[in-house]
Amino acid sequence: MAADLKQMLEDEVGNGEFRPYCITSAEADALTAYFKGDADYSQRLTDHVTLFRSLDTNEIVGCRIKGISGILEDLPNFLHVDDHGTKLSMIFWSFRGGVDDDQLRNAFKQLAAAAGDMPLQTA
Amino acid sequence: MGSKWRIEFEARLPGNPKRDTWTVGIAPALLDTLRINSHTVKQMRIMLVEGVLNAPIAIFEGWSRPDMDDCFVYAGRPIQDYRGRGIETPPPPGMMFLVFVLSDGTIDDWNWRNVGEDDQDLPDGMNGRQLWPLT
Repeated sequence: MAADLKQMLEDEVGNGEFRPYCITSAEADALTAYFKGDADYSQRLTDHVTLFRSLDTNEIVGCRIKGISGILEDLPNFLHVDDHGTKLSMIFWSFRGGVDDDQLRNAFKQLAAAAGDMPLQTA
Repeated sequence: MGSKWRIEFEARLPGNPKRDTWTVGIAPALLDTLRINSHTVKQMRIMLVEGVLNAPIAIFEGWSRPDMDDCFVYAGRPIQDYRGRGIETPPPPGMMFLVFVLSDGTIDDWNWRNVGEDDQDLPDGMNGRQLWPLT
């Protein structure tokens, strides 16, 4: 199995450059976003947010937002969402307001900056 | 009827890990997302998933949030890491590899995580119910 799997994965891996992406999973009720393709590790930030950090630089390269369905349902009540849809950074803004801890607030600020104009695509 | 997963593994059964296994897998949509966006590290680290599911150091039930009490986290210590095609490295020090599995067996995520400050044999930030080893 391992040899077959390795061959299959190596066949699937292309030569293209990493492209940032954002996906949601209804089954897991979670959103996953990656801004960079570095080798990463996960760090649980809050009950709702897990950061993905580069193993080499510790920079934030992605995140996972849990319980996303409730957040998305609430967003239109707080923000005007235009034809271009919701930006991922809005999600971090929504979390940032509720934290007192400077370290957490800074992490959300970094996440919003890393997300930039990345659109929030829902399944 | 075909499987709903493109890659399947036999994992230790959370309720009886010593004796039984169950089939889990990764959905085509997630694999397609990784391939289309050239997320090579994530793709190649699927190589680590099988070992952790077969020989977990710990299994947790619940993802520490509402409606996810029937999901599982498998934690293990692979002896290598993958950082790209053909790029094998030693595992990152002080970390464990986690595989997140939904109640229907769908593998939802996998990644490294620091071990806990209090218990070096368990991953950090894991609040689910520990099923294995029995405590």
